[in-house]
Amino acid sequence: MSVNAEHVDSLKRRSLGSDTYTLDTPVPGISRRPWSGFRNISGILFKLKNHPGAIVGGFVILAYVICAVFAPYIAPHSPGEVALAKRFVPPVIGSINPLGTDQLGRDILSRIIYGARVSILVGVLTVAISMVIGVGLGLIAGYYQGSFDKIMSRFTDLLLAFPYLIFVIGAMSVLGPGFWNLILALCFKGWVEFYRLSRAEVMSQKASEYVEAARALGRTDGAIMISEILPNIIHSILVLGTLRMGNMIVMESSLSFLGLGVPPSIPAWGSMVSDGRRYMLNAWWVATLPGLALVVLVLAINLVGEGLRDVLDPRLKEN
Amino acid sequence: MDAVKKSEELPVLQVSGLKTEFPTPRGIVHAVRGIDFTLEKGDILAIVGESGCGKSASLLSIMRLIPHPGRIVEGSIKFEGKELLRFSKAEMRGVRGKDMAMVFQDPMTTLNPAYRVGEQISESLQVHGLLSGFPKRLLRREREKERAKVMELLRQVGIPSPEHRHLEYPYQFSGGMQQRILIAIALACRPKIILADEPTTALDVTVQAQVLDLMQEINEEFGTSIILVTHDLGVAAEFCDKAAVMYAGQIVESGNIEDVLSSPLHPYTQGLLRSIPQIGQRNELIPIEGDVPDLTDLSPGCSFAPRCRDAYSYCNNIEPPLIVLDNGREVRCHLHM
Repeated sequence: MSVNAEHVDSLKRRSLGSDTYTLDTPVPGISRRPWSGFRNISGILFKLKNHPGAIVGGFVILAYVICAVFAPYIAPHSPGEVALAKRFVPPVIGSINPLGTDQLGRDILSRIIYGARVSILVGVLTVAISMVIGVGLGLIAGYYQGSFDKIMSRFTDLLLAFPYLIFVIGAMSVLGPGFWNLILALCFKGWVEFYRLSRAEVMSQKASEYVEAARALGRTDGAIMISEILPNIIHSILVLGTLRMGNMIVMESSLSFLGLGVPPSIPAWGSMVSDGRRYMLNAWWVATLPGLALVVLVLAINLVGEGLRDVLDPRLKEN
Repeated sequence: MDAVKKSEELPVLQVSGLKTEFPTPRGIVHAVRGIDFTLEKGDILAIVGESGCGKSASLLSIMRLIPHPGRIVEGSIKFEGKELLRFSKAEMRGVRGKDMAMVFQDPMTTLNPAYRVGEQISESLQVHGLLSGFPKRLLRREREKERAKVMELLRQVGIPSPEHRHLEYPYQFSGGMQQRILIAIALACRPKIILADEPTTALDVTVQAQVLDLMQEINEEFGTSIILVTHDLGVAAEFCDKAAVMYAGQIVESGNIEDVLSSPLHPYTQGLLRSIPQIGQRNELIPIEGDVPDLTDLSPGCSFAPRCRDAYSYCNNIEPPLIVLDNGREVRCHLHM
């Protein structure tokens, strides 16, 4: 009961109603840390140290991103530089075309480096846009349920009934090729999974008493959705986002391979594989090396995604 | 000065004829069937009754937090003379947490696991404009103010070393400490009424006593009125001034706690008291036979009649009126006509 005696004491000493804060009397041992912000990031990085795959994946992604951002400084040649005299030069490490040249004598290394721009940009943009749309709608549908939820959920069922690639091919043939049309086509169905995940998570969180307590505190529905529920479900959304990014990149390459992606003037891995396919028996490197670049990036992204899932998902924490 | 006097004369909360229903596929559940009570400033009222008798539904009705599709059908809830049922949604949000605060049953799930407790305490002050909200609260001066206020509240509810603990997350606290945090959140805006929905049910007995003591001190110190919903008559006896016994959505008996417990008038209250073991006595416990009636399909008469030992034949058909006795006691039973 000593705690009790202590607080009786403190009750007597202080009155709740007095709005006079003595700012100049410092509280001993007070932390200067800000209350909110990226408080979990360091903790997550610390836990990831037990996942070597995720760390390697992280560095690989970092290398790709650096290549994409600084492509003009890193690439030894211009990606569109045609040199018909140097067609099908095989890869020799240390030469001026370390990964060889293609059927028009263009430097494959430079084209791969530039191709990373399209892949990464498409991956990041489609996932970001899909996430915002899907999570926004999912929050509303999961929180209010009712007829909005019913209509949205049947609509997403309808979208999910189409295979993704077929759907995007259809959308691209209607919209026509082009970078933004590609993003649009991918997002048009990409948000569905974020919607379904966040809707389900919101519905399970909504039953928690802290949501009711927030209502009893006088918070608005919007504030409850964004600042009470969202922080509790953001982990699984981020994991899904990482894993979807790999998918989106593969999807972009598939479309470029089929000639439905970005215009041929922009170097993209998918179209490089498609071009090199015809010379596979004579010059294997033209198609293989861009494909390899794609595989390594997607693998790295998936490794990071899985590491994040293990770290962030409390249900998997025990094992 | 005059205005202050006037508001003191009015009861803090006056509930009359409150009816709440929940439509379900099986029919309409009449969760609250016309309850009346008055809460004066500084009163501690116990609402007792077994599970499913409408205690929690009554509290939620008062806060107007009945989940859809449930609704308040009729009645009046007057807070300091103002009719809450006529308030707009926005006006109601201004009342919740500021004038009337709730303490919930299970502190572990009531605290948001994603935020530090200090943030959760300052949240209600921000919502009601007593502390600056988002962009402004990042200013150093505002942060100091916020921290001082949080520290003061944590000290008031007896959290040791608040300067460290306000930075911790809910899972780092024990159940009793979490309940203290919830009380600190409820206290933050210095409400006129605290509605406590079985605040000690999830706690063990010694911690229970500490939390109740704390609430009693708050009541004495600030004159906060408290409505305590409980199924524990011992808690009610120790802690409350008045008691209202609920059965099947109605208040069947109310009055000062000593009167109700020492000379219960309603057969249901008598039955409740008979079914509590008493230390030092070897009397056999006598449970109340039967079950709580189905709230979708109530008989026209007294809802307790099927379980009542003293029921007359007409009890099943004629609804007993509310009988007002002296000393502020009320009972809803034909036996006291």
